[in-house]
Amino acid sequence: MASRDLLGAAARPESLTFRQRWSHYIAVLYCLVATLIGLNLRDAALTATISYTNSQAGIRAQYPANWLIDESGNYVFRVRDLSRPGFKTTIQVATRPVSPLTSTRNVLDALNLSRAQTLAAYEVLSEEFYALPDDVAATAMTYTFVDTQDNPFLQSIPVVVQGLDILTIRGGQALVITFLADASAFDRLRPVFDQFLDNLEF
Amino acid sequence: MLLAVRFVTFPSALKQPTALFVALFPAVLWLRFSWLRERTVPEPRQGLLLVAVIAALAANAVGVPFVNNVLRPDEWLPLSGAVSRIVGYAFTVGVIHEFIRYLVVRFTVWPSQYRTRLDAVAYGAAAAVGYATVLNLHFVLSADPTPEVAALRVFDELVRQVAGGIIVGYGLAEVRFNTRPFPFLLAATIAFATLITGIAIPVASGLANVTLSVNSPVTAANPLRGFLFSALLIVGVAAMLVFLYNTAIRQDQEAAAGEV
Amino acid sequence: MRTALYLAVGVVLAVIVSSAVEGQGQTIDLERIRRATVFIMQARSVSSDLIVTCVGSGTIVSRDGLVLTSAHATFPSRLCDGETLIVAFSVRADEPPIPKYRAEIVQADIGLDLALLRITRQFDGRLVEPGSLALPFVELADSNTVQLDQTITVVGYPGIGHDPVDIRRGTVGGFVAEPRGGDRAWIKTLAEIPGTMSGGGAYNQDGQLIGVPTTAPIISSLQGAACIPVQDTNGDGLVNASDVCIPVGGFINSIRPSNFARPLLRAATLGISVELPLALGTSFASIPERQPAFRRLFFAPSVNEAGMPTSVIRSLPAGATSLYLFFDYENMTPETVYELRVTVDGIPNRTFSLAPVRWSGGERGLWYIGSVNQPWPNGVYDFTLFANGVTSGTARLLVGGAAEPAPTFSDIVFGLQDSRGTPLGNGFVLPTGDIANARFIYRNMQPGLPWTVIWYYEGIEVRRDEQVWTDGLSGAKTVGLAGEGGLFPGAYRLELYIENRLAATSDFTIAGAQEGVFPRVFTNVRFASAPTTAETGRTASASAFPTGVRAIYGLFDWQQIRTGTLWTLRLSVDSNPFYERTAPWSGQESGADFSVRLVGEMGIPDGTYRMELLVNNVPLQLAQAQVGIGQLPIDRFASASGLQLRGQILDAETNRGIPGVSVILLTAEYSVSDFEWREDQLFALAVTDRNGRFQIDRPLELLVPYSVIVATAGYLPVTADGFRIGPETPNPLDLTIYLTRG
Repeated sequence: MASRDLLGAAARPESLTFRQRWSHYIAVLYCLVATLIGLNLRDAALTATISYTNSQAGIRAQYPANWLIDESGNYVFRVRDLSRPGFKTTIQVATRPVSPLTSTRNVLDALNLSRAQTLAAYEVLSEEFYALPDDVAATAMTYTFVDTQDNPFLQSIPVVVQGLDILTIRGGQALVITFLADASAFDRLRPVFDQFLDNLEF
Repeated sequence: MLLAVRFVTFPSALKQPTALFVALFPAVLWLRFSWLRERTVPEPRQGLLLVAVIAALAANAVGVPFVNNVLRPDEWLPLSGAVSRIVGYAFTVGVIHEFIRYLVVRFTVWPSQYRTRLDAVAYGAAAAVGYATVLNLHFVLSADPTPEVAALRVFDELVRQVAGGIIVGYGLAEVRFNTRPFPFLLAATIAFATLITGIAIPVASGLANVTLSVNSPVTAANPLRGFLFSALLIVGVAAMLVFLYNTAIRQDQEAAAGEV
Repeated sequence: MRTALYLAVGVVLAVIVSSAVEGQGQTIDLERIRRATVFIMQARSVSSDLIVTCVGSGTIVSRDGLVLTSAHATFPSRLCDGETLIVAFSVRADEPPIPKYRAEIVQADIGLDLALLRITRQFDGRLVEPGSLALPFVELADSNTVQLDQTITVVGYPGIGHDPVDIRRGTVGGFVAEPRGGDRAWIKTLAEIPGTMSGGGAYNQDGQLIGVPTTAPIISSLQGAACIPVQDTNGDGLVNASDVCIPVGGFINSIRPSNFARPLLRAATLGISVELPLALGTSFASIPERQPAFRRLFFAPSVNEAGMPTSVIRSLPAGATSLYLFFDYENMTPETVYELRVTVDGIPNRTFSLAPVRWSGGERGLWYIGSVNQPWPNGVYDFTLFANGVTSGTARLLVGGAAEPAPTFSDIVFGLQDSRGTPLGNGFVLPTGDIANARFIYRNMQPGLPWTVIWYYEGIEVRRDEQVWTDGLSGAKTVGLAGEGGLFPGAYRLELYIENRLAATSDFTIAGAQEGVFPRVFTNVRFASAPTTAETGRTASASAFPTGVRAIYGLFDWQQIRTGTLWTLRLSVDSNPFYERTAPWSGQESGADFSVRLVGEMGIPDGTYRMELLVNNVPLQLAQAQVGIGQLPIDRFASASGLQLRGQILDAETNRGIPGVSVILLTAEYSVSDFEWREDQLFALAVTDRNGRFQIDRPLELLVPYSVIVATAGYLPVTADGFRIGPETPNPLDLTIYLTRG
């Protein structure tokens, strides 16, 4: 086989030995495999998860590694990505008691009413059917609001946040799974939430 | 130049033009002391400028976008542990840079322009200068650093690229001049070059990183430590490769004498 | 030459030593106090506008947003008729305040001129989630530890919103005594404090709040500079006297001690509200608008435990350190502004004067203003009382010279006489019956001296005895009052005259049935739990309640309390008062099951609760009950002491601030390698603003080894274990951290 290079194209082609050719093939192969390894390392780092179990609430989940987990608020648990600049991407699982006559609409209305009291420029964008894994029927509500810093002595620029609630009623309680992210990065970060939903058991 | 930008105070309007000049300075130096000088010898190396330009274009078209938008090491590597960072940078930033430069040299000047083993060093360095120039320009234009920081960063990047360039150049030279090269040697040199990158990036930035103390309210980064590491790196790599090249050249001479 | 050199070295050393000594004495954390001082605007909605009606300063006293301020500028009144309260902060020390939040009044004592606000909404009206605020705050000091001539620092806003926080230094010039508050009803200062700093804070050298400087604007004098128009409220295109103006008081020389604010703060912190039946002696009865008046001004050298003068004097000997001006008052309300001006030999004396302040007494009765433990220089003193800016009484006293060996009566106590003629009982509240006795001390009396005993019932003279002295020179004597058909419940007064000169006087109350020598006014005092107020009478009393009980009742029966009798209800938890109300009784004379309902928004906190009942400041009955474990839970955020950590995170390559960086402090039990990204491992968390600045909202404790993590995507994290502050660490500690890109 003759070798080819730009400057040697016009010259007399030289024949490469078997080893010379295979040196290049192996080099290229190595680079491609190394790139794939790099992509895998990236995926593994970005999608690394930690197991969470709450037997009292009957919830098992896998949340992103190195996110801060918090169980002290008015929710089952909440995880936030503290390394993210701007708004800290948040995934939250909460439960609300319901009666046999309570519909998802009632729960969403209650959520909207209370959020409108505390979140600036809160606006609901859509409510639509959503199918959780295992064909569990749910409702997805998308909304936006503006997040502001609580500290009056710092100068923070408010950030537009987009939120997604997945709501389903099961076993006498409403399960509300919330995903909040900077609106400009919401779509790019959505796979993290999708992976979380895929691994959620309740 | 480093001393000049370190001890001269620049008006804020001149900071970015100065940083841009700093980013282009290695290319200017290479043009003056390598490429122009090559023009004066009886049988100059052909394609040096071509290699540099194509490497630069490949960096801008493929290298930088692939690393920044696909691999995105900034999002997951800085917060990882030391070993993870070395492996991570090796298999992302390192392999992409080395792979692209290898392809550029392989399909522009190899094997026709490789007349001696030292040609590998020249072409490897040319590709490295072109590639590093693009990386440095991206850095200066996106991060807007001070000229002093730009100078240190430019040096670090150049050292990494040149080190990788001459390591891979050794592999290409082996494949060119050894009729029965070990088939895995070229891949091994590329792997070694990526490992050097994988080690250099976290170590240099880690040495420059601060430590926190109650007694030191201002914890300033120390980029000079990174600079010193890069200087040691290039000296070490160069010394190692001088040995390897000399050994290979001597072996070639012995083989040629044996044939005679 | 050598001498000059030695002299120069000596001067330099002296300067160094003195500045070092000065530096050691300066421990007050002015930065934190400045940040905790807020500017309050009361406003009224007119169409879509907000009109500022009153302004004042305030101080944040809890992390979650309780603000202590003066009531006259915040509580809705004729002068300040707004319904919205806006809280503004000084973001930068040298800049005017910026509105940030809205607040509501949660506790107020109009008479004490103290109000406690809670920040409830953002400035744009959004609700603030409870517990989400982490504001800088100050701790209350024990104001009883303040000493004369002690250096104090007063902090507040000197203008009506266009000035940054101001700091004034001064000393404690004295204390003013009043019936409500005892010997330290007011702390006096000689510092020059403008009236607009009313509601701010006065601090001791440890940076603790010792009181609230306050002065109340007088409605009648609101003209010119005393009331400033700033908005075109009538829409005529001009800002002038036709528009709503903001009243500003004159100078301040009085500070309401912080101990008066403790019950308010405690009640707000506990989240307990106290509900009283509306028709039964819970508030001042509505009175027609009549001009407040002061009468019968006289002087006494001291007061007894019931707040009555021990004696009446016409002059004060040289070297005296205690003096009280007594006077009768009527037609007073909590909104009345009263003032005392004192001149000495015709020269105004600020030390003994009292700047215009709100009235903290009842509608009518006997009151005093005095001072103790403070020397009175010799001279002729003229005391002039003002009510709402109108002169309402004057008196003159000569201070100086030797004590006169004049005939005196003193130390009147009341009770039922035993066989030896000694009045028995509590001294100032007697049971209903046929007779009341008064015993007094006499000195330097001469046989044959004419003297008079006058008894009053509800302000009307009921008996007068003009006699000639026949007892000895000095001793004790008892006089009595008997009534046909018995003595009715109500307010009584005894005046003793020597040669037509008032020599001694005292008030007492008759109430309740007789139980031995003591009055049985309140009985069956107990705590109980019931579903509704109406069912409390059928519920058995209890001394213990479960944790989380939402409401409990304090109950009592009462006998023979005349309408108008001042009675006091005091509630405390773990011996700390959180509620106290003194009001004229306006219900039936006798009855049963008077109920006081204590309601906790989130359940009544665990603790030992006590209900005390008093008449005329004399404790008569109490009841006690336990909720939960009988002790209040410890609030880990209650302490403001410690080091404040803040700083800036910069990019090492660009020198620019990095927004959104997380600064994490771990509790002392965890190191960086132990960190598992769990919130319960955190001591504090802060995020940088757009300039890379951050603030840790909890103070750091001394010598505690914290671990610090500074991290954000794209940069190498900075970590440190053993981050320990020492006594010499500057407070606040400002860190500048450069992050390197990864």
